[in-house]
Amino acid sequence: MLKINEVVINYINHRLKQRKTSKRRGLAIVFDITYRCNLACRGCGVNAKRRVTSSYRESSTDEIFLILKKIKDYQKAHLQIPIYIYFGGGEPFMRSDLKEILETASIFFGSENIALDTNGTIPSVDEIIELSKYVNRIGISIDGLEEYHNWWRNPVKESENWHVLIEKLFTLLLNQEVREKIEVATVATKKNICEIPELIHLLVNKGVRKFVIHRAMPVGRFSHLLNLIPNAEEYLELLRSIAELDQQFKSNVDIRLHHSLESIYISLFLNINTYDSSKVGEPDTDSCIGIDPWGNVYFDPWCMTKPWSTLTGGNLLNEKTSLEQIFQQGLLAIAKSYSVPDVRCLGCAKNCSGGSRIAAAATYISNLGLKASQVTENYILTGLTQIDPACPLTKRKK
Amino acid sequence: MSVGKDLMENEFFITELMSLGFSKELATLYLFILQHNPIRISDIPEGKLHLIEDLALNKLVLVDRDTIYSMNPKITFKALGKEVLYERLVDLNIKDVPKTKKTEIKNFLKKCENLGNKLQRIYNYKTPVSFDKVKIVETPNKLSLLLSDAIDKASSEILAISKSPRLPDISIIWSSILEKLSRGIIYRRIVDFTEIEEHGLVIIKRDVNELCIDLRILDSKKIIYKFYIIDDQIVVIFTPLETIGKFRLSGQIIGNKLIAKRYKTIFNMLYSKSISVKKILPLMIEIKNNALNEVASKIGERESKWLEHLIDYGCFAKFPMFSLNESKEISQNLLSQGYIEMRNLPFGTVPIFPYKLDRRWLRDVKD
Repeated sequence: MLKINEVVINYINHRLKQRKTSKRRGLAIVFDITYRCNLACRGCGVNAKRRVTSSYRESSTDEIFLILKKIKDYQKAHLQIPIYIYFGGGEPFMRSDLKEILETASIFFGSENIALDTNGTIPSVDEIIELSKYVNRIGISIDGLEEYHNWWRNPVKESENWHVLIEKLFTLLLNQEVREKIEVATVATKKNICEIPELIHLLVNKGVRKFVIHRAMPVGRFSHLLNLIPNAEEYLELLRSIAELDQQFKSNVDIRLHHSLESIYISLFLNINTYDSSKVGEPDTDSCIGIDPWGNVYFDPWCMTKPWSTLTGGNLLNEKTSLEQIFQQGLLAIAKSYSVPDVRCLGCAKNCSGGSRIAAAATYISNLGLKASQVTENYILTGLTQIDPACPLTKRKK
Repeated sequence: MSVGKDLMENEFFITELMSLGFSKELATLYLFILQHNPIRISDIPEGKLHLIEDLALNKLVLVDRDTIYSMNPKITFKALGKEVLYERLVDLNIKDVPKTKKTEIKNFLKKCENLGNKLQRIYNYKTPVSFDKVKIVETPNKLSLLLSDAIDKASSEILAISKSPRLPDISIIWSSILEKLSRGIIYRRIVDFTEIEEHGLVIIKRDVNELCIDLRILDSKKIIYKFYIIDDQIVVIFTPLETIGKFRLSGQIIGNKLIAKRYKTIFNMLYSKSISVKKILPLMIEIKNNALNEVASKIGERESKWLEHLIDYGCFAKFPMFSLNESKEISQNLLSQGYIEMRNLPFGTVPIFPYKLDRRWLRDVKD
């Protein structure tokens, strides 16, 4: 039996309740509007670049609007499905039209259904405050304490350093409206996993109330950093630390783990089936679909780089293509059919949504040592049936 | 009246099945499964489970976890007939089989085919794979059965790209394909030249000229995929090994239009790089004739005759006009002189005639 205590159970129960009213329970979309970035994180999952070639071209403002309109068309036909859009990248502030995009999105979907993810180093405090009226969440990436964060993010300017970002964040927190919208996002790796509780403590003392801890996915540049990806035991240890923090903060601070980790834990420790067939996208409450800067749609935001991008469902900039068509042609069916028992995790019969299929496949492919150009669809589809390495049952299943 | 008719019909089938070698118990159980398809293993009395193994061994049923599916009898009996013949008798269509034997062969095949057709009337069709799901297949035997089932669903087109090793139970797959070809369904297949060598000249000629299969050759190194696409609906993929371009005899049956569309793009891309076997047949015949003349003059007529049979029937050659000892002796002689080589195939190590075609020639031939 896996050893977990009451504190962990209470925390998972708390998260289960929160997930029931999650903004992402309908159709959640991660819309990467650029793959340009002022930083160069060692494990960037989308291979975002500081310098792009002259041939690089991403969707224009009008094209972004067209994509948003097609999402709106889908919503009109499915009024019962709530829509939530995260604008990310790359670094969205690399686009000079970010304000226009957020404003339009908030008109289409309501600002309560829009989120922005940024590394926070480009905009001034005033710019963030100005844009905050168009969104209900501002995700700011802080990957650990100063030394680790700077090592990970490779800043080249003084303004991109951890201490400047933290000062900016503390100033933002003085604005009550903005404070409520701020969520600090951290990617857990073997190197920072132990300092995450300390980081949370530091930021909670200054007023941050929301945290999300993402998984390290072996895609993009991370596919070359397998030795930095936490194993199932380390994730479990992280869960214990988070649960203890949650108890300390008496659930007044929201700390969530990546949805795939939560779904595994809810299934294993509460014995609740997390497979949600009604979810639009992967069959897990908090999952998102992805749209890349060129309008291609994917069943998971982690498969928007090569070789995964071969699984695109279609392009919304194609005049005749609607989001409805893309879904009906089988994109969502891929996510669902590879997450059912008998198919995922080498046939594991547990009642869960299968963790992350991309994590399972990407780990399988990375372990084969193939270059992205060598990875055929046969490898990808075989990978989707493998075990999510974050599952505590991994060793037993093997 | 109806009950009586059903009973009579069952009696008829039992008699027919027994004439093919089924025990009464096995025939009765098979008819039950066929009519109540699919059924749970738990519904079979423990003492009769060995009969299920017999049926599975003959590819009449597929055991999938706790469920037993009956395969389409129209396909399986055709395959069964050919397999029994292949094991017990000799190659089909060969010149040296006496007329009486030919009649016997034809009658046996006809009997199997007729019985399969009649059994199909009482067959409660239920596929083990639906159009919108994914099924993982871990053994070659199951993969053959499920691939056959998927092909059985084709209504317009079957596309395939393949290379060695091939599934061992090809008779059931081949029966499904033949059934579809007879209904005008298009079959396009891209293979490496190894398959062409192994299948034999007579069989290849029959495939392209009589059965109108669009058979194409692609350099083995370029075949880094192995799959079937059925009607833009179902894709059957083989599990790739760590080494690029090598595959396990396991895979997935995927009912997903988007994945089928993606694989069709890949197929079309590889198709455009491949060449039609029809283009290469004259050269193969020329190489064959040269080799036969050379062997006849250097070694002997008997050896040349043996080699001709090998070239014509490839890995399916049974050498009925040679005794086992003579065949072994000739084989060793031709092997030592480099006219043939031994290859490991799923059903054993067999002699093959290597055409030794220049790869560049293959590359340069344009349609």
